[in-house]
Amino acid sequence: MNRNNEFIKLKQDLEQVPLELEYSATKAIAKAKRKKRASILWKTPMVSFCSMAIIFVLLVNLFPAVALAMSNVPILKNLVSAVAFDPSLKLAVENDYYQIIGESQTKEDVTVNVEYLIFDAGHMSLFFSVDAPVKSGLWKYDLTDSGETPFTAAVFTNNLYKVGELEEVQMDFVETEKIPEKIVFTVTINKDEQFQTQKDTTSEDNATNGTNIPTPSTSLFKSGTDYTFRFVVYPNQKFTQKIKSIPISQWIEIKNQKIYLERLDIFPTHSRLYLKYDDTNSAIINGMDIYFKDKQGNVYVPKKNGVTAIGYENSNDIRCLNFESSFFKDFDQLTMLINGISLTEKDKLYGEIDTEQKTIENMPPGVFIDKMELNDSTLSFTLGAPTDTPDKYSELISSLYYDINGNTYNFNSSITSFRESNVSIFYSEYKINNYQDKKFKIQWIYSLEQTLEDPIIINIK
Amino acid sequence: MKLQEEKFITEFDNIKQQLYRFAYLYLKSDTSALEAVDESVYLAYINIKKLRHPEYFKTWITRILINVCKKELSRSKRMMPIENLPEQSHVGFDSLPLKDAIDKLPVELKIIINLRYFNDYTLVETAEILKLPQGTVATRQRKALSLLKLELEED
Repeated sequence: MNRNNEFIKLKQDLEQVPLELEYSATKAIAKAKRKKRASILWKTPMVSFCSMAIIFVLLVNLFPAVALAMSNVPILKNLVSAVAFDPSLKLAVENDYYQIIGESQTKEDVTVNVEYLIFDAGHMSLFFSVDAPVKSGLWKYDLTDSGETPFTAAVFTNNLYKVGELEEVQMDFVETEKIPEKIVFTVTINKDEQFQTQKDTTSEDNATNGTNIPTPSTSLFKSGTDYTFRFVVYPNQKFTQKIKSIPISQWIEIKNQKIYLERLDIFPTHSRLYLKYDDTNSAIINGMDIYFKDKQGNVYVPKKNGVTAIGYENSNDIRCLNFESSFFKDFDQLTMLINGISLTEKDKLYGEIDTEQKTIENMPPGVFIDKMELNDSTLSFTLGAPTDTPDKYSELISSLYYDINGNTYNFNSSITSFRESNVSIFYSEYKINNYQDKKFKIQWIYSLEQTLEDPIIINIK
Repeated sequence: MKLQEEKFITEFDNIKQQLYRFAYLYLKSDTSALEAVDESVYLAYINIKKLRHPEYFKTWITRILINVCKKELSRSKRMMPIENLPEQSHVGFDSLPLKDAIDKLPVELKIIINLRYFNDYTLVETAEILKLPQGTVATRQRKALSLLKLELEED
């Protein structure tokens, strides 16, 4: 018996090596340089983001690909002051649950360093930094799979960078999304020596009005120079295996609405409570005040940063609510406590905006019109609303609007901010470029929370 | 980029395919193999000052890789569900596909076959990596070839 032919065949098969091998050495060098810094860097973003906490811009229409992905599912809410202040991510990092990417690209004097990835089957946080001869500036990005197709996912980011600090891009995958083997991250950095952040303009102009913030539709990328970089990131697939699923399978009734608690999926970066609803419900659930507690006394509250809930496709209902994760905690028993609920009656879900009369239908209690004006065919209107919790704000309306014929469009931009030191009322400004109509419809996704007289307590594990 | 970094990358580039092939044949998983190479090149970089003779870079990093692979395999064996543990019955090397037969070899023979015949390390290099006399490597290699029913050149 001679197996030499088998040997030759096997040796030929082994000639195939993965492309990622190209980056092994550069990644190793980057990892070696950054390993020491990593633990420090991870803890600093909260501080570094505080100064820009009042400016978050939801990039809606700058990238059609992202807008398309967003229009399918996400409900982006409760964007709070610091993107990187995230207990679950912090715990994940403390448990070495992160991937060092360590890739850099330079064009002229602008360098983008894609530094870390935190990834599981439900969420991705990609961190990068910018080196450029300015203090700060604007950036935009696109995330696609290797076939340049946008993900069916909820995406969330701010669009200001500060040189040398970590910026974060988040993406939450929906249940049906296949976990990508590659993520193509295309980022455009605007270098503009004249660029000023709101903090700068506030101090110089003594202006305290949130509308002074540069907006995507007016000033973003209109001056300075753009540098576009394309990175291919390979998430380590071992991270996608990490999930603990606890079935709940229980109907509850709150304020005459029947809600089915399906299961709790615990990922390293977050937990998801999956919900279903009775068709006869009169209202849409905008949110619920729920938290989880284990026997050891650890409390897992709703996610406050980034994506806090994901909607059903082609429906206004929330499919899942996101919570901080108990993945890295050793817990015995998990109890769910429901204290309140936010509802919008289905017949008050949509509101017509009359831009001549400056009126809006079906405004939820507490919401008011702050400003509405048409300048050079750009319509902008600002709505104010009280917060449930100081310093925490929600999205007021869906990122889609409808013309009189029922066609849907994305707003060109939306900006939410607090004014002066009043953290109990927030303002959201929306813009539509080339506005030609007199009326259009919006969808409300905001309502003040109603506290339950008797909290609902359910032992789920 | 510093000269030392460039040199390190060049040195690694020269043998990265061999390192990957070794890890892949040893761990039988492309993901694990890539991770093992990544870990090895990282360990090599942070310990590069310990390498007094740069001409031994290849054998030195290969030795690191072997240690990483051994560690990974023992870790993954610990994690293997009990129903997946292989039966410790008599192994008929010639009745198995070659890849599986190599996997069943005692580890000291498996490494030699992997290095010598799938990655073209010389006898001298193999002996240096394993810190064994060349004669011992030659004997083990002969034994492994015989078990596998392979008639390959021994030099």
